[in-house]
Amino acid sequence: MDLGMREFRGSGNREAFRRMLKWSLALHAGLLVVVLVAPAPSGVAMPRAIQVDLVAARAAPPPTPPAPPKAPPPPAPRKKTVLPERPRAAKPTPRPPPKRSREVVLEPEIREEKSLEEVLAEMRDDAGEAAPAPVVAAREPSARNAQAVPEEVLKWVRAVKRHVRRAWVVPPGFRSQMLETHVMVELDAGGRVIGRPRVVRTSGNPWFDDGVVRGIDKASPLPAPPEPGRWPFVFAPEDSF
Amino acid sequence: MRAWACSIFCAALLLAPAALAEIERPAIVVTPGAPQVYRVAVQRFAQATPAAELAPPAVEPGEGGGTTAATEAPALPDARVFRERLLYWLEFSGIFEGIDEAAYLGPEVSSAEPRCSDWSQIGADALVAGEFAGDAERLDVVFRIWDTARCVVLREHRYRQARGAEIETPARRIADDAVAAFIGRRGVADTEIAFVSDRGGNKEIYVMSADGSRVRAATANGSRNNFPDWSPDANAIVYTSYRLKNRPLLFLSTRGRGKPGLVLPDLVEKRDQYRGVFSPGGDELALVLSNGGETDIFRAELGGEDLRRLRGGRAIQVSPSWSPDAEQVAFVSDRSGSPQIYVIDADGTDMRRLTFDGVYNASPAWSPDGLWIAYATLVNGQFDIWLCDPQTGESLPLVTHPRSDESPSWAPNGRKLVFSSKRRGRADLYVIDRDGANLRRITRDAGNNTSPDWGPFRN
Repeated sequence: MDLGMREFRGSGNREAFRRMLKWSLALHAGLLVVVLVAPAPSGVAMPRAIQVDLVAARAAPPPTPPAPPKAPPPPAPRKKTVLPERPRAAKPTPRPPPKRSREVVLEPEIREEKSLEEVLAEMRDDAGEAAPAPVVAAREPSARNAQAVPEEVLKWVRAVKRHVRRAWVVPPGFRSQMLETHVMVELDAGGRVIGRPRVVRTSGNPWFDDGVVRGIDKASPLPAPPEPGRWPFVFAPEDSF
Repeated sequence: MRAWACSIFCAALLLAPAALAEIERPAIVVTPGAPQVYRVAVQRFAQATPAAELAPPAVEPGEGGGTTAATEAPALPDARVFRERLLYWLEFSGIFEGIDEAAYLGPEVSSAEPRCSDWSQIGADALVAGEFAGDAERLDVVFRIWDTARCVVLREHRYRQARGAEIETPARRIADDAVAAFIGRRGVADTEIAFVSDRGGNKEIYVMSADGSRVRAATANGSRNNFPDWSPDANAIVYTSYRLKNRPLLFLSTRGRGKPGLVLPDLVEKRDQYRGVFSPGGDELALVLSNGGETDIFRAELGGEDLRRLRGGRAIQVSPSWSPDAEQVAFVSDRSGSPQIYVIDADGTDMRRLTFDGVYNASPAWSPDGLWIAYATLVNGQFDIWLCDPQTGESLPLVTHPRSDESPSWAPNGRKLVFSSKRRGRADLYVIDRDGANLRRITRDAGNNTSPDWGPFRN
């Protein structure tokens, strides 16, 4: 693939490296066998915590699961376990767990997940279930102080969410980023948006904020609110929770 | 410490009810629904403004050919064809979806002030309108992109070109402008990809549009050519060729301006020149040179002056890639015993190893925003493409497939990558979004296509 590769192949380094790799693999395999086969130190009285640790260590196979980072230098086994022979389907790659990965989250999988979640959310909403998703609920003052917000208001909130998310376009590049825009929207009694929605906390990306305002404008009129006035909205791609 | 934390917690507890009382209304948390693309209506551009019609006769009088020129001038581009091309390139961006003319409530042809409700009612988020104007020599394409929900013009611009020039260029540029208006980064419709193909029997350099259309040869020397790399002004490609003395030497292919030929003529006798990569400023090259024994990374000015070795030693150093700020260079070295990605400051100091996993990591490509380095990594005897965060060294898979995926190169807006894959047996070029979505093959039915380099924005 590279001119350099031919050079690498030609050099004696490759043989040496192969030898090292074999040794490394053999040592690792040996360790693995020891860990798996060795009888659990059952009879001995041990502090509870330590026993728990041992069990945990055995349950998880030594070469780390999908999480890529920090594996110690002997590297070969990691990728081999991460990516076993896969059927032809090119798309689904494991979703990267670390925080930094937000921007690289692999879309095809998510989109499917999302649509399913979406369907569930809609079903939940239609059934008039109280707490939609724990995370979302936690953000709303209503969750902490449930009796403060009457049921009809919560019902309206759910209707508004459904309504706005149909109008709000979130292009591919924005879906996997940590973006969150807080907007104050003034509604008249009929649900019509009065004036410009005001961004009270920017996501840091003016085009994302712009898309949010555009989405609210497009969604107007919203379902008629319990009372006219200013209502706080938070727009956030799901992944950022 | 603990007391401190406790007091903060208590204060928060005390303050919370006050905050709640003040807000009193629940925040309405909205998460993304299904819509991922903006729906766009494109009007046919109006054929000519009155001002433009007046212009040509004012220049013409007295000349014999004046009347024919005057009658030629009004024959502006076919507005219907232009609309189709514009729509094609808007949809190419992946963030727009066109609306059929049959659904329009408003007029098919542009006017200065559209009625936004006509467009928002049919579900259009955006409206593209504009006019053609011009005389015998030049063509002006004026366009406006409306946000129909808020009824504001997000962007307007006038593209001017020679009368005979094809309308494809303004169509691409307007589409790219529309993308920028909606997501803040230009689209890449008006960019090109250089690559290597053996479709003609031997490896030559080719160039094509970002959608894979309009493939044309940049070299035809019958020798072996490899590793094309665009200059940042999109007017030249440096590449490696064996056409002279059957040795690897760097050559320049230009778009007319600039002079083609050997890049480092003074080094022909001294060193093999395996690869050249333009610096982000375009005045320097990162080089892979070899004196027979050692293969090292150098940098030099375009003519070969001020040659400096960035990294040498007994190991083999190849595949340089500049960081977008030109402060650092990523490259591949086998100094640890296996090829791994390293980063070094561009002055040759502070070298550090970036990849520790995998037995063979190669082809680093630094993203235009500087946040990622894409690279190829050997897994089960074939290559996959991963992304590495140069700050933390953490890697994530981008392309995994049982057959080899190699040589990633970033689109200039950083939203997509092109790479070479043997998943269909022969090597073809594919494009994928940075987040792994929208995989598309862009080369078809001709030889092995490898070593792509996505060219820069054009001005």
